[in-house]
Order: sequence, then C-alpha cells, then structure tokens
Amino acid sequence: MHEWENALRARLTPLGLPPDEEASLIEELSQHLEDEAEALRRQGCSEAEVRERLIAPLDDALWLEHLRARAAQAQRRSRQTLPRSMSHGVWGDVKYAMRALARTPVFATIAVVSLALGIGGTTAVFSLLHTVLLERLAIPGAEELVALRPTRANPDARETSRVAPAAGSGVRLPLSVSVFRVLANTPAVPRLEAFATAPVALRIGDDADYPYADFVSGGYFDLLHVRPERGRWITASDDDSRAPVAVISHQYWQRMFAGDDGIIGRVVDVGTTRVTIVGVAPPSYRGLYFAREFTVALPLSLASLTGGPLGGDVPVTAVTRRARTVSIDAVAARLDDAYQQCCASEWRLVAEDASRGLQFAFDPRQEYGRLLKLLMGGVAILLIVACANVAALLLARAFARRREIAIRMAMGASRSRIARLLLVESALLTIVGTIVGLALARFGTGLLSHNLPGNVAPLADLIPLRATAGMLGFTIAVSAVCTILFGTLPALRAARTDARESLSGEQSARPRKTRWPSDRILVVVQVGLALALLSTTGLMTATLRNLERGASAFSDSRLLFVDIDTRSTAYQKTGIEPLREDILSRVRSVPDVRAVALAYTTPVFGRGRAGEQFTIVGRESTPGNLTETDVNFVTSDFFVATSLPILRGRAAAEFEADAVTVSESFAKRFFPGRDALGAELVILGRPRAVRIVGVVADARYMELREPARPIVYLALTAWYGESLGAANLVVRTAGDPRNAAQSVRDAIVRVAPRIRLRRVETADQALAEALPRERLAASLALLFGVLALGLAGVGLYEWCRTTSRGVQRRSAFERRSVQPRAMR
Amino acid sequence: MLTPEFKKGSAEFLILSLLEHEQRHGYEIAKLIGERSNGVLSFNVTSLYPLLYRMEERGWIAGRWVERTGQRRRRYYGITAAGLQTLGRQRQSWREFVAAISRVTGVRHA
Repeated sequence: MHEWENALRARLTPLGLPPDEEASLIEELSQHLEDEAEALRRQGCSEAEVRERLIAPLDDALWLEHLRARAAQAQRRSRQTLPRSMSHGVWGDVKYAMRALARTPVFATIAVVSLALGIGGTTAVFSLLHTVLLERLAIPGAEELVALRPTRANPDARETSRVAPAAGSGVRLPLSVSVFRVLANTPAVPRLEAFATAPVALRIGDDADYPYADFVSGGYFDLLHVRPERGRWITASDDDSRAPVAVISHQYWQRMFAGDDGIIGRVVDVGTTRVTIVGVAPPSYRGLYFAREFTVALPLSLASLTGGPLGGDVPVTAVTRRARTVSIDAVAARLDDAYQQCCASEWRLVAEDASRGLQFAFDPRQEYGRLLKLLMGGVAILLIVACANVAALLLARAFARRREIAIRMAMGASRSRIARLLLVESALLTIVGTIVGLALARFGTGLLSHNLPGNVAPLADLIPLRATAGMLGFTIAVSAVCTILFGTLPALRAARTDARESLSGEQSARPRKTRWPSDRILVVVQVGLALALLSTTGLMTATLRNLERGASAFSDSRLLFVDIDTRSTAYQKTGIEPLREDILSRVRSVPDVRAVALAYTTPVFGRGRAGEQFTIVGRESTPGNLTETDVNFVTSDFFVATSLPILRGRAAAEFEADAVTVSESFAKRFFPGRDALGAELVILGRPRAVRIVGVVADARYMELREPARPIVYLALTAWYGESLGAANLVVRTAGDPRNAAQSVRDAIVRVAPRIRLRRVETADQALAEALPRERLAASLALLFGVLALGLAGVGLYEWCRTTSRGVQRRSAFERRSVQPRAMR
Repeated sequence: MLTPEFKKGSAEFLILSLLEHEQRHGYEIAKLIGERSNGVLSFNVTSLYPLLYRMEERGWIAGRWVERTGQRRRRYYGITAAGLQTLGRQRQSWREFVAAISRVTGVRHA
C-alpha cells in the first residue's frame, strides 16, 4: 500500500494540487491499485509483474495532462475566491461570523445572555452611581452656585437643640430670615439670596396636601437663571409686598391639577391664607436639594405660613453665585467677614458647593454612595465572570473548529486574517449583548425607580437609565474592553492552529493535549469569582439580619406606631395637649390594645432627635462647658408599651417635673463606676434641677448602625406639653398589630376628625423602612451573586459540551485514519 | 479491439448504467465493466478516474467517503438526478442508433 502511495505522491506532488485534494486522490487511487494488485496476485502474477503492470500506466501522458489541468483549475479558483473574500473585508467577516454563530445557536445565546447581564448590570449601576454622586443640578451654570449655612465656631459643641427649641430657652437662630435680610443689605456682600424649606398645609378645593414649600427671597429664581414653563417666577416685589403668590413644579401641576390649562391665576389655601398660583416651573427644575422633590415656592416674607413656633423668622439657607475664578473658600471668607460684622455670634458661615444639590435631612450620597461603589465592584466581577465565560466557550469552540480553521488556512487565509475573523465574531457577540444589556439595564432601573426606599423616593425620575453621551460612552468603552478581554485569547489561539496536524488528524510526537490549558484556568477563575460574590452576598444578608435584631429593642413585634400631627390643621393653635388624654383613653379602649403611650419620638419609627444641654449638679462646670444629650419626651406608659425594661429604680411619672429616667448608656457614660440614681442634672433653660429616678435599657432611635446614644427621658406633659404640635403614638397589641391599625386610626379620628395621621406602621414595617440601604444592598447583591453563579454554571456546562463534542469528533476521525494503519 | 475514442464515448454511458441502482467504488466499477464485457472493455486507474472526476464535476455522479465496519474507508460514487436524466437520454439515443445500424446491416440484435 505504501508503495502505491509513494508512487502516486511522487507523480502528484510536483503538480501543485491543493493539499486536501491531493491527499484524497492518493487515498482513493492507492486503494484501487492495492485491490488490482491483489487480483493480479491471485491470477499468479509475481510481485515484479504486478508492479510493472500497475505503475507503468501512472506515467500515461493523457492522465498527467488531466491532473495538470485539474491543478491549474484549482489554482485559478483559489486566486478568484481568496482576493474576493479579502476585498469583502470586514463586511464579509461579519457575514461569515453571523453564519458561524447561527450554526451554533445554543452557544450564541449563552454568550449573548452572559454579556447582556454583565454589560447591562455594569451600565445600570454606573448610571445610578453617576446620578447619585456625579450629576449636576439641571440649572444653567450650576457649578457657580454656592450655598451658605451656619456652623458652630466651636466644633465640639455641635448638635444643639435645633429640632425642638424649648420655649423661652432664648435660642437665637444663627441664620434666619431676619439675619439674612441684614446680611444681604450689608455693603461689600455679593448678591445673596435665600430660601427656607418647611412643610405647609395646602388645600386645593376639597383636597388637602402637605408638601414641603420653598420660601424664596425675591431674586432667588433670577439668580438661578431658570425660565418658568408658564407664567412667571416670584419676584422681588412679591417678596417686598408679602404678595400671596406661589409657583408650583411641573410635576405638582400634573399630579394635583391634572395639567389644568388655566393653572395660572388659580387660588389655593396655604394654611388659612388664599394664595394665587402665578407660575409653573419647568420639568427639569428640582430645587436646590438633591434627594427632595420641589413642589411649591412662596415668597420668603410669607414664611410665617409654616405655622411654626418661630413665626416668620425661620432658618434659611443663603445662596450666591461665584465667578469661576473665585474659590468657594474665598466666597465663604468674604461672606463670613460680613456676617461676623453685622451679626457677630458664636457661629461661622461655611460655604458649600451646591452644583450637585444640597442635602435635606439626610445624606443619600453618604448613605448610598458606598453601597453603589460596592455594587459597582460586584457588577464588575459579574462582568469579568461573563467575559471569562464567553472566553472559555470561544476557546472550546475554536478547539472544536480546528479543522475548519485549518481548511481556511489551507485555502490561503493568513493567521492574522483568521484572528480577525474570530475577533469580528466576538465583536458581533458583544454588540448584540450590549443591545440586549441596555434593554435589561433600562428595564432594571425602571423597576428600581418604582421600588425605591422612602428616603430617596424623590429621585425616582432620575434613576431610570437615560441615553446621555456619557452613558453611551461608558457602555461602548465597557463593550470594547469586553471584546478585548474575551476575544483576544481565543483568536490568537486559533490563529496558531497547525493546519497540517489538524487536517490530517495526526498528532506529532508531542504529548497529546485534549484541550488548551488556558480555558481550564478561565473556568476556575469564573467559578471562583462567582462564589466570592455569593459569599459577599451572604455577609450582607447576615449584616442586615444582625442590624434588624440589634435595632429592635422590642422582644416581639406586636407594636403599632402612629405619627400624629396638628400643625397646619384646625388644632394648630392648641397642639396635641388638649387632645392627649382623650386620644390615649380612646385608643386604650380599642379591643386587643394592651398599652398606649405618647412620645416626642420613638425608636426606629421616630421622626427625629431632640437634644438638650445640661450640667451635673456637684461637678465643675462653666457656661461654655456644657454637655449635650439626646432627650425624649414621653408619657408614663412609654416603657410599658415599648417593653423597654427598667433596669434600676422606677419610671418618672407623668407630671413629675423634677424626676427623669435615663438610659443605660447615659448612666455608663456620665456616671462611670457610680450609681446614677439620685444624681441631679440641670438642663439649660430650666430653672430647677431634676433627679434621676430610674435607669432604663438602651434603645436605638435613628442610628441603627451605631451604638445606642445616651438619652434622658423627660415627662411629656410637664416638660413639653403646651407646644407639642406633633408626636408619636406607641400602641402595644395582644395579637397582630396590623389587625388593630384601622381601629386605632378610627379611635383617634373620633377624638379629632381634622387631625393629620402621617404614618401608621407596625414595628416590622418601621424596621424595614429604617434599613433600606442594607435591604437594597442585600437583595441586589443576592441578585448579582445568583446571576454570576448561574452564568458560571451555564458556561461550564456548555464548555464541557463543546469540548467533549470536539474530542468525540476527533476520536471518530482517528478511528478512520489510524485504525487501518494499525491493521496493515 | 475497441479504439480509445469509442471506449471514451461509451464509458460514461456504462458507468451511469452501473451506478443506476447502487453506489459503487472505483475499483468495483472497473472490475464490473471488465467482467461483464468479458475483458473486451477494461479500465485502469489512469483511464477510469479522470472520467469519474469529470462526471462528478458535471454533476452526474457524486462521490463520498463511506466507512463500513471492518473495512477501510472508500470513496463510493452514486448517480445524481442529473445523472439519471443523462442516462435516460443516452439509452434512448443508443436504442435509436442500434436500431438504425441493424436496419442498415441486417444484423439482428441478439
């Protein structure tokens, strides 16, 4: 047999037939010759005769002529096809890549879904990060805006009682409307405007709404350079003449007035004052606060409409513009100089860059910025897993396609061209993956915007993915990096395919490798990363659980909280005090209710924090050396209702003006190693000392993630009574508190039909709301972790399938070509 | 003895006939032609395969590698639809040709 093969090869090779054609010819003809030889031998021919009779005709002129023509034809064909496919360039490659991908739909689908999840997740989180941390307010020249707020000159004495200035305590606000007016009119002060934000009661026909209103100085809107969508802004003459006019936001106009065309000139009630709407702000105007919705603006001179204890002299935030060449600190220094001259106090004015919005009540950037950065890390891992996934699949696929690649090389394709072809395939996958990913990101952020935690809900319309230049640039960059990440290695690998070896199915003497080692590493990497992501998820979930357990000062969840507010209602003048006893006894008589208490604020659910300065009787203290503590004003049943255990002594009674209960951490901090019981405190602004009669267990109010703060419990009636406009009702029930919620509501409304019940929540609900960040983090991390693991799993499966198919195909090939040789 | 030209002209007809109902490899085709013609017609490698390849290029027959257990893989040739049409046409003209010859020469077809 070898004899025939050699004889044929000697005659065929010089002709220059394409290698695969030559191989096929030699195989077929040598078999024929071997069969004929066998027949001749049976007829009794000698070996020499056989050789003579079979080999001589191989030099037949006609036959050689035929073969030469065939070779020439093959060369013509390859000259025609190759340059044409080259000139087709990238488009030809794209068409080829599409066909190649269509032939393996499972692979293509897995790759596209992997990339879509990776790219979509990255894009969505980046867009959130951009919105929360980087984006400027939609105000012309926003980068020039500077806000000024007062801060204590002595930084150790922060957090004084600004939430609840005790009546007659003589607290003077450092930057109020009156101070602003003086400051703005001081020579050498640059143009200064101001606004104050406070809740108002708005009555539109029969509907009542309680939005936050911006009370703005006359030139405020002029300073912002924003044009109203309809009507006009509030002007200096409105502010000077105390004109009862208002400007509302576009969104409020749509929501409350159904986009009424006759909105300009409509009259609404703010508290008891009739106010005319003179303008509508454009949709993009959101006010100067970052995480708060702008709804309505009124002249600053009408600030008394808030109905607060301060009359119209509310605290304000001052705003100015700076030239871009002047630093914020320089602006602050100049204004602070003027401030010290006109209104010298223990406060200083500090300037704050307002270009990205100011904080209102809480700081979503601090709250969510770190979480988003963590998530960004998470999705980056997801992206790497997806890329590794696709890279491993492409490697396995290229391995299985060695024959095809070898044939292309045999037909004259260069290595760089093979690499380009495979890169185009990768790029095609990325492009489809990116498109699907963007759709996913858009859908995901849309979903998220409807499920935002309450404290960032006003950002809802900023959350969905928007097609901005920056966003698209980022996505394109990510996609390009992806293609390079997962496409390069397989492409280079494939280009190094040994054409002869792959075609003939022969392996050289080198030890045989069933697959390339790099894809094994890739699989290990992606499974490892996915597991890391998942374990991080576990940690986040564990943190959430711990916080929930730690935050809950309550042994069970049979608690109902109600936020009661008389401000801006018919009961504004007298407050809660006249209604207190009626409300408590009515609620107490609701079936299923075990205990009821009223408090200024409540743990977890609570709306804020009050602080007081105090000294301890018998200790050295100077007026400048006051100590601060949180305080809460509670009725006597508070500890029963919340089931906060009294550790020592007793709870102070309702009307005891000279007895207080303190928390355990208060006792530990101010009376270390000593008994706090019986000690006396003097609270600033109160004439008499009070005695500590009890120590109660700690409860966390707002700072669920920190240790409990020291707190003093003061009797509500004795200490706060008259001026109490809003309070929390704490209701302990025997069964599920949700069942009692409506009866409790009804009981309160029966006492005071016009009262405002802001929130009615169970302890569980309040807890869920108090830890939105952790909840969001845990659920998003879980989502990404599961996605990454799913990707790794699916990738691994498909990788095994593709590789084993390649090996199977090869062993079938080997059976064909190797076995006969062994049999010979 | 038949001249090469005559052989070549009729060879395609012979091969198509042999492949009409069955796929065969090159050696089998050559052997059958030799046997059935009692050695009058004979093909060797250099005369048979150029023919087969040309017929394949014309689309009359199609060759493919077939693997059977216990055998080396072989290239088998089968007739295509175009091949069947050609075969029909050639049969027809051959019949007409033979009839004409016998009418002229008085030689009866056996």
